[in-house]
Amino acid sequence: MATKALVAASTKPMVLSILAYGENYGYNIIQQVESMSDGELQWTDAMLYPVLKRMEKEKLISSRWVKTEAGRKRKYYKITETGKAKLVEEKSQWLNVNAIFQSLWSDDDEISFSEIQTV
Amino acid sequence: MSSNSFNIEIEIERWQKSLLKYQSIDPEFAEELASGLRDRYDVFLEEGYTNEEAFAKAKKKTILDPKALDNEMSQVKQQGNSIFGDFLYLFPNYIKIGWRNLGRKRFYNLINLVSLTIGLVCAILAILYINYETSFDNFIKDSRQIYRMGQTLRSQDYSMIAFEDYNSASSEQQKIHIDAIKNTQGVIDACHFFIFDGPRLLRKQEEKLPTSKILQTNTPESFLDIFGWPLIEGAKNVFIQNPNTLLFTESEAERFYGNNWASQDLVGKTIEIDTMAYTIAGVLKDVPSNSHLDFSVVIHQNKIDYWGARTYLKVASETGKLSIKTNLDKNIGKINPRLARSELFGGFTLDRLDEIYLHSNKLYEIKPPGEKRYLYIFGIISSIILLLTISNYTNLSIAMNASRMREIGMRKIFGANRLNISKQFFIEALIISYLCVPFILLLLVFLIPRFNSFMDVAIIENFWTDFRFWALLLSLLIVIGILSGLYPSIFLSKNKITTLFKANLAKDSKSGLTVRKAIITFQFGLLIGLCSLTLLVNNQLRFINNKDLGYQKENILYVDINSNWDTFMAFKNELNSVSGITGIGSGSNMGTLPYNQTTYRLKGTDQVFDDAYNLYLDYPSLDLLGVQTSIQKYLDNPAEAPNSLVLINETAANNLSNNFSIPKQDLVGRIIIEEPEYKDEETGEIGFPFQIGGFIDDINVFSLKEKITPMFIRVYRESEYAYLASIRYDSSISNTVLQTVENAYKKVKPNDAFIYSFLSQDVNELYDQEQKIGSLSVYFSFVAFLVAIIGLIALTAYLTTLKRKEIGMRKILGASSFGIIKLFNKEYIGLLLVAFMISVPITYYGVSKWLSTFAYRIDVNLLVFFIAAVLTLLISSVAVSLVTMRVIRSEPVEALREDQ
Repeated sequence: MATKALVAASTKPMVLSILAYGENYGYNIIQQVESMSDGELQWTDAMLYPVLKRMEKEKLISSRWVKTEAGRKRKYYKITETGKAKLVEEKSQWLNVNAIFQSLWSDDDEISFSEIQTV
Repeated sequence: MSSNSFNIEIEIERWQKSLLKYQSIDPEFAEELASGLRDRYDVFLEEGYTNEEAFAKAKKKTILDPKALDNEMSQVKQQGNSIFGDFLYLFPNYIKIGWRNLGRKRFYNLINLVSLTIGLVCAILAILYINYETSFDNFIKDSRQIYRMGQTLRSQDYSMIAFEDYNSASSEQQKIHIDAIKNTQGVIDACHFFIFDGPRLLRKQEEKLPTSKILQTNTPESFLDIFGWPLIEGAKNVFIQNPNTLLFTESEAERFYGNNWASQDLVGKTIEIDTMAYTIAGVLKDVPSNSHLDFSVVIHQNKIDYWGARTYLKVASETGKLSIKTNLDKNIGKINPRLARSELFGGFTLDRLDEIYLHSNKLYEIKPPGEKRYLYIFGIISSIILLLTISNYTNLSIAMNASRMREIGMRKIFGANRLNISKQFFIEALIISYLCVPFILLLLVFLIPRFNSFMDVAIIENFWTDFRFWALLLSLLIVIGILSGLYPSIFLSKNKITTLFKANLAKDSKSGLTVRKAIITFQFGLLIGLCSLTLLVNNQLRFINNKDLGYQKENILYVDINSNWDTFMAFKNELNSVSGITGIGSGSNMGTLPYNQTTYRLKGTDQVFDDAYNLYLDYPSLDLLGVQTSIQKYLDNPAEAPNSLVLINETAANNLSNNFSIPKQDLVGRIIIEEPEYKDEETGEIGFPFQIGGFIDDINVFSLKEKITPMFIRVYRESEYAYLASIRYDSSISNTVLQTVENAYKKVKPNDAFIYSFLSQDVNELYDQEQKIGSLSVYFSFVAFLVAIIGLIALTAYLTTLKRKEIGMRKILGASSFGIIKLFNKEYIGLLLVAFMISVPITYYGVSKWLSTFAYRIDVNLLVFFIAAVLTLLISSVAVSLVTMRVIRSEPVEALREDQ
């Protein structure tokens, strides 16, 4: 299970990334995250909706009500231009972190590790 | 099976509704959550759960803890709302809706506007007035480092210090006196001067102008430096270096030389005062009216022509008042050796410059001191009016806006939260209060000059040029707007959506009615209090006016004769033949401010008293005052009277008789030694003995605030000098007496200014402040009643409109008009009783405290409170009945046909 801190930090970029693929609604976002993480990340409504509302306030996403063919109403969220810019920024940060971890944890890169030790 | 009866739509709807009780879960959000719930429900059904199980699991999975979600969501909602939030975005909308509402209930909003304007004008006037009264002498630089020096002698405090040899102190002696003060440790600078109240004739070539408030000083440099009086024309040095020079104030220069005085090169010109010539050295700016000092001309002279002087000193900023006083007291031997030897001297007193006006009440003050108490009274009365207007507003807006519950419901459905609703009401209150601005300004422009002349103050008349006025007005408006919008916004925004559509809260809501009743009770309480206060204050003033002072105060004219006895007699002879003049005498005046007392003891006893006043009256002046005395035979038959004798008043006689167990009548012939601490070096005689020659009844020479103390009245046939002539005349010549007397005066003293006063006016002036406060309390009570009644009328009018159907039904069922009116009035009687119980003790306490400042006062009659209550009831029930009648007169059918 991911730690609370990690979930808190990653929710926003994850939502932005999911919405970058197209409009989506709350329940489906939760399901997608769960399946992509093999059940490792189990988001709840109580956690997701406040984040969505906050992001909407920050104008990163927008929402609209859609009536499905079955007659059901769903609220769909869509990434905005501001959201897209934010995503680029977030992406570079996460990739950076990722690159550091990768280089730290890869076995064949002893030099860089010793470099760190000498500093 | 239970599954058959299970309806998922109903269950979801119920679940959704249950979420709405949480403040931050609005219908839209509940709907969104429900759509997720449905998806999960479907999944669980597919997994083989029953309907109930699937729903229960989906519910759990969707929201486990709605409370936590509510908290989280409310944080999200508040985020970014910090100060303005969506306020700026919604502001135009608030204004639009507010404006529409104002227009929709024009009559009621107009009433709010009128009453808020009145309340605000009263509050602003009170603030300006209090600000003026508390600003005395603040304009002088370093006013907190400047002190007035006085002295304690016997048991009295003086605002002046006597010279070593009183009037005969030489200029050198006066200089030693002030230099010793200047050289006291901690004192930086000191000056002394005297201001002559009465007019003296100033002569500019042939022209003579009587001029009052002439200031004489022999410390001109310190006088200008300490107070920093700004010179508009002339050179300071010329004035400082040359005795017998003078400075005019600006308005005095204008009085003498006209508006264009500045172009006339005044410096160097000569002015004569009496027989002395003075050179004009310059022109000073006028002394602001909010100074306890007042003068029109400043003369530099080597010697001050008076028995003492007003002394002011500046101290180093770090020096405390107490240490300066200690140093001065220590230095008394150098300052005034005579005082140092005197056993009557009780030390020097110090009053800080900016505290003199409101905090000092010593003998011989330059201006009558201000009364802090009256500032409180004024502040309280205008706060009452302001509270009335605010509660009017609150009351009316609760009633009017109760019918806006549906609107609020709609707003909430569209996502408005409580804060948004409150903002709408605040904005509406603020719109009304800001709409008052032009009316407030117009009223103030009209009122301030009148208020100034009525209260004898100088509140700045072009107040709008002062940014502080605007700061005051705008912040007051915000406070009033917020205060008046406070209750409606809390009360109306708190209701849950589900209850908002149920009913018209004006009729049904219990809490609304209770608060409304509480406010009306509060208003009644204020009215009863104010009304009884006004009645009692004016009763006391009437009592003062009508109280027998022990002498006749009507038809007596005082003339400042200030001459030797022969001139006085010549003046008397001029008037003797005038028919209608029934008595002419000379001596002390009645209706004056307290002056110095004297010490005395009865010969043969040791106890020394220090509480007696000396009075001087010749036989005719005692006679014309009509005082009851034991020597009436001499007054009736002046030829038999001794050259002089001393009478003691009733209080003195009783004190002596009780203290020494001497029957009163045996006091006649006994010797009283005045100033027994004094010993004549040559003869060895102690004090100034006199024989008691008779008694007079107690008379109130001073204001009725002063208790009557022992008095010694010296009655004489003639004296060396006559200061004051008193003339009694018949009412039939009231219109001509002044001219007749002036003509006689001009014959004997052609070169002097004719100064006079009427005794009845002098007595009235002692209560000048009380009279003003008395009239002001009448005006303000009237305004308060007006505001409260306007509010009550509007409220009743509105409520009866809402109850038109009820009234219609009652009429159809046979109720009489009187019966309906009684019903509407009945509601208020209970409230009035409660108000009565609360306000009477408070008012009683306040009035008793005020009355205790008078030595002679009325008893607080409880009947007054009943009268006030009945008056309040009467006025309000007339208002309520009239308004109700208007509705009753309309056809009942029309009311019933209406779709409310």
